[in-house]
Amino acid sequence: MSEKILENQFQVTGMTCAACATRIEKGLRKMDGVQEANVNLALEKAMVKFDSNVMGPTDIQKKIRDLGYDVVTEKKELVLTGMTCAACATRIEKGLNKLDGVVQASVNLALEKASVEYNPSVVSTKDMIQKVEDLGYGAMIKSDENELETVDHRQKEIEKQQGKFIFSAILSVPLLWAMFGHFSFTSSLYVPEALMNPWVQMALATPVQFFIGKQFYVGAYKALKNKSANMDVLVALGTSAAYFYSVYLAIQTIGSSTHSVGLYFETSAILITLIILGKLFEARAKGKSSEAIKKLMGLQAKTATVLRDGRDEIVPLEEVISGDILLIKPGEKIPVDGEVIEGSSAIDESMLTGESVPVDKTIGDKVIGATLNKNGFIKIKATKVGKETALAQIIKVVEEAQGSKAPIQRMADSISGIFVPIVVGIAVITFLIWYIWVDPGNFAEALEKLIAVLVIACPCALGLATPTSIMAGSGRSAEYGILFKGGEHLEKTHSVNTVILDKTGTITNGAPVLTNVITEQNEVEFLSLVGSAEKQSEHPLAQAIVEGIKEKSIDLNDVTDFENIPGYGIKAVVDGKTVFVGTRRLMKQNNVNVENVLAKMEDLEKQGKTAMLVAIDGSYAGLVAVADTIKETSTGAIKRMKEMGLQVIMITGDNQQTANAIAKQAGVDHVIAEVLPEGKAEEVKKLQAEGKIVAMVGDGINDAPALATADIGMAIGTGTDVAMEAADITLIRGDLNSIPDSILMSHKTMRNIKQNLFWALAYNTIGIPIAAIGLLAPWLAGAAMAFSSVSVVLNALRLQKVKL
Amino acid sequence: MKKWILSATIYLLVVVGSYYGITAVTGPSEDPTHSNMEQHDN
Repeated sequence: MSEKILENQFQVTGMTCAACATRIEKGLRKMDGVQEANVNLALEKAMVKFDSNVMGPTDIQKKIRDLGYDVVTEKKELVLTGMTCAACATRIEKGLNKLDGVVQASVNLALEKASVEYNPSVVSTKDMIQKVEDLGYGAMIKSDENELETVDHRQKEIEKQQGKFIFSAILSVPLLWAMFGHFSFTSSLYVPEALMNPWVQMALATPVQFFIGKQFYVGAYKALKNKSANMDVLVALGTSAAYFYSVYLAIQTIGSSTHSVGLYFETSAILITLIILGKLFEARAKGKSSEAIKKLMGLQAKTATVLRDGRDEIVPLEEVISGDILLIKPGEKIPVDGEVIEGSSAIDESMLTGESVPVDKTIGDKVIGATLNKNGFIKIKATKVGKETALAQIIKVVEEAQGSKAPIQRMADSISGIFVPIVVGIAVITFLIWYIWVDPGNFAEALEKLIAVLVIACPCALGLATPTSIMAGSGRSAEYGILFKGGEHLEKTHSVNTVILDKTGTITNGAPVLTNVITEQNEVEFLSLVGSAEKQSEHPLAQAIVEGIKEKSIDLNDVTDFENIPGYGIKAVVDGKTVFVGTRRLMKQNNVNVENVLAKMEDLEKQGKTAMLVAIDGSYAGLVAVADTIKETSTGAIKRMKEMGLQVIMITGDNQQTANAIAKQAGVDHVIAEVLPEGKAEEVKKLQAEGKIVAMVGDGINDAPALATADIGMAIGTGTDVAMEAADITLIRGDLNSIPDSILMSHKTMRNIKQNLFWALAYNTIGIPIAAIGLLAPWLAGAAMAFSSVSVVLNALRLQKVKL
Repeated sequence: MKKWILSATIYLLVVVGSYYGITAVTGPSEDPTHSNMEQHDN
C-alpha cells in the first residue's frame, strides 16, 4: 500500500515551557507512521506529518493526551434533514466518525441532530456538511449560538490567570506586610498582631500553595510521569520546600515556650503570585504576537451585494460563489477576488501589499478581496471565493510561518530539555555546601538558597525566545506584503549575499508598451492607420502598439482586408490604403526601400526595443518601437541592494544586446543572458558552487526550478498573480524594494532572536550563581524569573513596530 | 473577576477574624505581640 501523507495541526493546551514542547515532539515522533512533528510553544500548536494509512489524527490526539496535555476540540450541532429511520442515523454517524479530525459524532434521530466533537484545525463544519450531503441527507449548522460558545481559549486563559493572580495577591500581601515588618529599615512599620501568628500565616499561604499552585503540581506530575522535567517541577519543588518547612516549624511551636522561628510562608505564596503574574503577562503578550493573523482575518468583508435575477441582494460572504456578479460602492470592501466587468475606480490595496498609493482598476483588471474601493462604483465577477482567495492564502502562509520553527530554536530546545535536571542538581549541591560548609547546621539558610536557585533557573524565557520573535517578525513582514513561508526562511534570508533577478516581470513590467514613433508624415494620421491595421492582430506586440495609440486618443478605423504573415508582420487595407507593419524581411518582400532607416532601427534594438517598419501604399512611412519597460522602482531598489553589499545579477532569455541595454538602465552590473528557463537553475547552482548564498527572484511560474534550487526563492508579483506555492518568500507587491526589505526584516528578526536568547541565558547563568552564593532572596528570584519571560516577549513585540 | 476578589477577601477576613475571635475567647497569649516570632531576615 502506498503512503498517503497528511499534515494536520493540533491546538495543544497545558504546555508551560520549551521542555513540554520538546517532550510532545519526541513522543509524537516515536509513533509509527509519524514522519515529522513540530510543536510551537508560543502558538500552542503541533504540526504533524503522518501516513494516514498507518494512523489517524485521533491517534495523535490520544498520544498528546497520554503525554499529559490536552488538544483543543470544538463541539457543534448539525441540524439534519432527510433521515427516515435508525439506519439513516447510524449511517450518518459512521460517516462523520470516519472523517479525519472528528473525535466523536453522535446522531439523534428524534431530534434530527448530530452532535460532533472535532479538531477545528483538521476538519471544518463545511467538510462535515459535505459528508452528510454526500451520504444523501441534508445538514446545516444549528445556529450562531454555537459559534458564540467557541470563545478564544487564550482569552479564557488570560481571564483565569487574572482571577488567580488577584486571589493569590490578596492573600500574599498580608504575608509580605508581615515580612517587611522585620526588616531593620522598616522596623517602625505597624504589623497587625494576627499577621505575625504562624497559624494565620499558614491559613493564608495554604490556598495559594494548593489551590492557586495546583497547576504547577499537576504540570510537574505530568512531566515526571513522562520521565522528564519542566519549569513546573522547579516551581513546585521550590515553593513546596518553603511551605512544608514552615509548616514543620509552625508545628514545632506547639507547646513550646520559644516562638523564635523563621517562617517561609510568604516566600512560597509570593513566588506563586509572581509566577502567575508572569504567566498572565506572557499570555497577554503571546496574544498580541498573533495579532497579525487577527488583523488579516479582520480585513475580510462580512457581506457582499450580489446581483441575482436582476436584483441586488446582500448575502453573507460564505454564500458568494465563483461567477457571481457583485456590486461594490465607493468606500466598500471588495468581498472576494474577481475581475472588473463594469466601471472603474481607485483601489486601496495597502492592507495586503503595503503599497500606500491606490491602484486604478478598470474593466478587465483583477481585484483582490478585502481591498478597499475608494471612489468609483464597480461591478465585478467573482473568480475566487473561500479558501482560494488571495487573502485566505496569505493567512494560510502567515499562519504556517508563525507556527514553524527556525533552526536556531533547536538549540534553545535542546538546552531547555536538559536544563531542569541540571538545575535540580545545582540546587541540591548549593544546599549541601551551605548546610555542611558555609553555615553548618543552619537548615533554614541552606533551604533558602536552594529555593532561590530552583526558582531563578526556570528556562521559560529560553523557550519563548525564538518562537515569539518568529511570530512577530513574520506577522510584521506580512503587513509589508512579504510572506515568509517558514521560520527557516526568515532565518536564512539574512545570510543571502547574491540576488539573481529574472528580467521579465521582475525588473521590468513584463508587458511591452509603445515607446517610439518615428515618421515624417502627420503623426496622428500615421498612427491611426497603424493602429487600425494592428488592432486585428492578437500578437502581444501588436496589442501594445494599439494600446499606446489608444492612449493618445487617436481614433481607429475599420479594416477592409487583413492578413497576418507569421514571422514577418501584417498587411491590412485601411481607408483604401494598403498598410504593411513588420520586419525588414516584410519590407524587402514587398520591395519597400528602408535602407535609410536601418541605422536608426539598430539603435533602437541596441536599447532593448523591438522596432517595426511601416509602409503605406508601397512606400516607407515610418517606424514604431515597443519595449518592455523597467518598473519605476527597480533602479532605486537595485541601488539599495548594492548599497547593502549584495551582488545583483540579472538573468534572462533575451539576447546579450537587449539584456545589456535593460541591465544598464536598471543599474545591474552582472548579466547572464540567453538562458532558457530550464537553464536558470543551472546558473543558480554555478553561483552556489562558488560559495555564494543565492536568492532567486522571479514570477514563480516559469522559473519555479530556479526558485527551488536557490537558497532562498522569492516569487514576486501583484496580488492574485503571485504563485505562492513556488517560493520560500512571496513578495505580494510587485516592487523590487520588497527584496531588500525582506533581507532587512530577516536581519532584524535574527538580531531580536539573538538578543532574546542572550537575555534568557544571561538570566539563568548569572542568576544561578548569585542565588547559590546567597545574594538573591527567593521572592526576588521569583520576580526576576517572571520578569525574564515578560521581557523576552516584550522584546519580540518590538518587531511589530519595525519600519522598513 | 469579582468572584475571585470576593472569595479571597472573605477568606482573609474569616482567617484574621477567627484569630481575634479565638484570642478574645482564650484570653491574651503568653506573648501577645509575638514579637519574638521572628520572620526570617530576607
